[in-house]
Amino acid sequence: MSVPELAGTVVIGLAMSAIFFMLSVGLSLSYGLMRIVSLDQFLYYSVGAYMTYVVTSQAGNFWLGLLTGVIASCTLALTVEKSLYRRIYEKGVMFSMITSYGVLLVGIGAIKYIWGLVPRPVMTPIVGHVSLLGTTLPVYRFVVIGLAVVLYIGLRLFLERTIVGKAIRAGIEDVDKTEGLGIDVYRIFTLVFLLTAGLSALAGGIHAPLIMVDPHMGLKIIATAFMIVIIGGLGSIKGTVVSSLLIGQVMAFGFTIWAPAAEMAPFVIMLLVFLIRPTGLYGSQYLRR
Amino acid sequence: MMGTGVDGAMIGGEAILGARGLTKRFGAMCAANSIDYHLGPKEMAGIIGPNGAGKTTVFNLLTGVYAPDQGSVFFDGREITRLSPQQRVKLGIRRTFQLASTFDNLRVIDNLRLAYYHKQRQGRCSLGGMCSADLGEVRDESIDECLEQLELSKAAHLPVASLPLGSKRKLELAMALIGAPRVLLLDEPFAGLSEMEIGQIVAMLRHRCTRRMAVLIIEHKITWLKDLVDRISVLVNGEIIADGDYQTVLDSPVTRKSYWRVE
Amino acid sequence: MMRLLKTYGTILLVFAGVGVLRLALPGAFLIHVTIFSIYTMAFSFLMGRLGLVSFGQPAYMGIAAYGTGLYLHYFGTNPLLGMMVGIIAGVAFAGVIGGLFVRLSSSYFTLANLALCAIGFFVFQRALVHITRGDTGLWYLGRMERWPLLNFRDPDHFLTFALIVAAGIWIVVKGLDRSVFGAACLAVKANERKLQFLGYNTYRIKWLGFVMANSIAAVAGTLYAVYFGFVSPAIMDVLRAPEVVVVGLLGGVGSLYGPLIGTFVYIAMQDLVSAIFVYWELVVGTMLVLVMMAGERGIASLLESAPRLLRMRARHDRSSAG
Repeated sequence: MSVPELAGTVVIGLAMSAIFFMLSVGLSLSYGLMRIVSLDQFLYYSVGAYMTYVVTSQAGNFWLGLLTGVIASCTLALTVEKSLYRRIYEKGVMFSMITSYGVLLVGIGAIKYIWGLVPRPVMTPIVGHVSLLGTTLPVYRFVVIGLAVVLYIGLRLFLERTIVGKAIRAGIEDVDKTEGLGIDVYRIFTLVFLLTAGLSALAGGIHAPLIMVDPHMGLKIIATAFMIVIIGGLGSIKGTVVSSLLIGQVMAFGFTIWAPAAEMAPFVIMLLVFLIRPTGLYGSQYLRR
Repeated sequence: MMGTGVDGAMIGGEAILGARGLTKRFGAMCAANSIDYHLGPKEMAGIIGPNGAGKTTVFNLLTGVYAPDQGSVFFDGREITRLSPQQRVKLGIRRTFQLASTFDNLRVIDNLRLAYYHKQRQGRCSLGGMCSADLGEVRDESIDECLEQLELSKAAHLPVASLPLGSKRKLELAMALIGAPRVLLLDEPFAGLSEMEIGQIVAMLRHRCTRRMAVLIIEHKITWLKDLVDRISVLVNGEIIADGDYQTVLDSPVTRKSYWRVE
Repeated sequence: MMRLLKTYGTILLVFAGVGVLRLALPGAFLIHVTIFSIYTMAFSFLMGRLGLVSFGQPAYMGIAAYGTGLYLHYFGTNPLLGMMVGIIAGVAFAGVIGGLFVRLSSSYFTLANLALCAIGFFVFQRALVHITRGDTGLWYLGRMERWPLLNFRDPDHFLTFALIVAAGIWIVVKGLDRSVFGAACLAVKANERKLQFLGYNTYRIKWLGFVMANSIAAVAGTLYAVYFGFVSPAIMDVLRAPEVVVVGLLGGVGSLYGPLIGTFVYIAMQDLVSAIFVYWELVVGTMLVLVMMAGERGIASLLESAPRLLRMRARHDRSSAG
């Protein structure tokens, strides 16, 4: 493999990692705090992508579409959280998983009803290319990577510097104790849920120009996203970052060797991690409720 | 007085269960700090201490739930520090849990049958055998005896979920006793029970365990142990600060200072 | 002999009853109900008895269906032998995967199975496309041998065969429910740590339970394979994974007849609804949410508890009157 090829593959891999990170960090965070596995996040991912598609094709502004997608998804997520999750939080992971799968399916049905089954293309907002180490690469991929880095730093600052962020971290360690401090944990739950949904919608909108939007897009990425969360360890942000980076590169290099290998490699890695650590790379064995 | 020695010779000789230099840290907190403890083969002993003193941690170290950071655990003269909980059960170490721990979705009698079946098979508990053994055919006098003694005969065919806390605790104790352990570790067996239920459990312990097996009881309150145990140790902040019979411990200045916080 | 009949007679009666329904209902519907209820039993066994929820059931069913399909397409013509091949493939696969998966805590288990299903779909659709012929699928309906007493292309023959298989599975499950192993499975579900402290090796118990449940799924897969005479990757589509969860919960997990009742209701409804409604995800999704919100009790448990509730009500009325 020549240097230009290598550089191109690494950048493609990093862009994939960026999207995986946005999609899976919220899942991991909400598991850590609320002990839920929220499969309806993949609906917000799809909604984010579809809103981006609609606004980009109607108004011609991709970034406005992205914003619309995030707002629409958060509104939807707020409705779902208030009406369903309030009754789910107390009931355990299994319950949230099955119920949220129901929500996801309803959403997919609705998307099919509104937009039909045909995949739709979304225009890339930035068409320029840059030269790097003898290869030319689309600027958009670098924007995606940059956005993920900014989000990661922002998230870290939010969790470490703000009072709400500190409350979230305390909640991940021990929800009961946090509640004992007089903090309304349910408001924090809602906040984290919306944060997760916003990130999922952003991931969907950002991903849209790279793939095509179609009703099953959420289901297509669900397995990879959860393999990343599992490999990193449920509840660990650090683990999510590490495994996003790992899987992004593995998939990018997989594509250049034999396309099916790219799809299967994350699964093989997951099995290998299970052999050594059944709770993922950074997952805690004691993180149970 | 049995089991208070710290020298190695005694471990092989008299003590059935022993710990030497047992240490376990969780982050900055030291839940067990270089604990030396020995339990005689037929001794009935207690460990008291305030909440968060590390009492349950000591049990978890002895039964193999946690691996210690330092130190070792001995059983009947051999080191068992690296054995899994299951292997320790096979040696004859049984325990109960702080939160009454039973199978709520099974009937009372089936809980006891499961406990008895394993003991009856004595380590030859194959999957094939379990599949072909009819649960209803698992019968033994000891099961009926336990039910009668704990006044659970009438509830035998009810699901455990419908029992009050006191009965669940009694059931858990019965499950441990049916296994005919050599060492029985009880984690706060009296918590949340009425005087009458405590009386029943104390009577059962006296009747079934005295001079038959070693028993170690963790308790928050010292009063219940008064007439039951031969020896009491006081655990504060992961360290054993006093050890001796009931009155000695009660009068000891160390205990008074760090446990009751009186001068 | 009499005792066995007393224990298992009800099962024979129930499945004979399903056979009698053939007088009024189409054979295809009843065959579908029978096979799908076997598949649901696999899910119900895992969730109701071991407390493990799998979103990857289609994978285990699909592996077995492909075992049968590949044998009948490339090698032999004997459908019974084909079924044997499929079941062996399914059991072996479950044995290996189970060894890894049952060590996981419940959330990891569910998600890992979901991933397994997605990967399985991908493998059969694209990675092994030169063998499985991708979405075109493998066809072998005309190749299957026919015997005078057992002709798989005759719906009535097939229904009888499927009902006998189903009754056999129900008898095995009931036998297991009554065994020490059955109690140990329930004990794992309620309190795994406690069972370890009684000396049981819970890993092995979970592994065997997992393999048993997926062997049942494998039987369903091979039955589909010989019934349709065709197998395609659609059988392990991730989209279809929640279907069995809905049906299982609808009938009530862990109860003996729950899977049968749930399947009957679900497929009848699906046949009625799909005639007028194309967006079946809407229906399945809504049902899933509703069933969960109703307290995940299922039809079977409602039916079972109804007489007791009525008696309690009557006693309450009497006591309040007196």
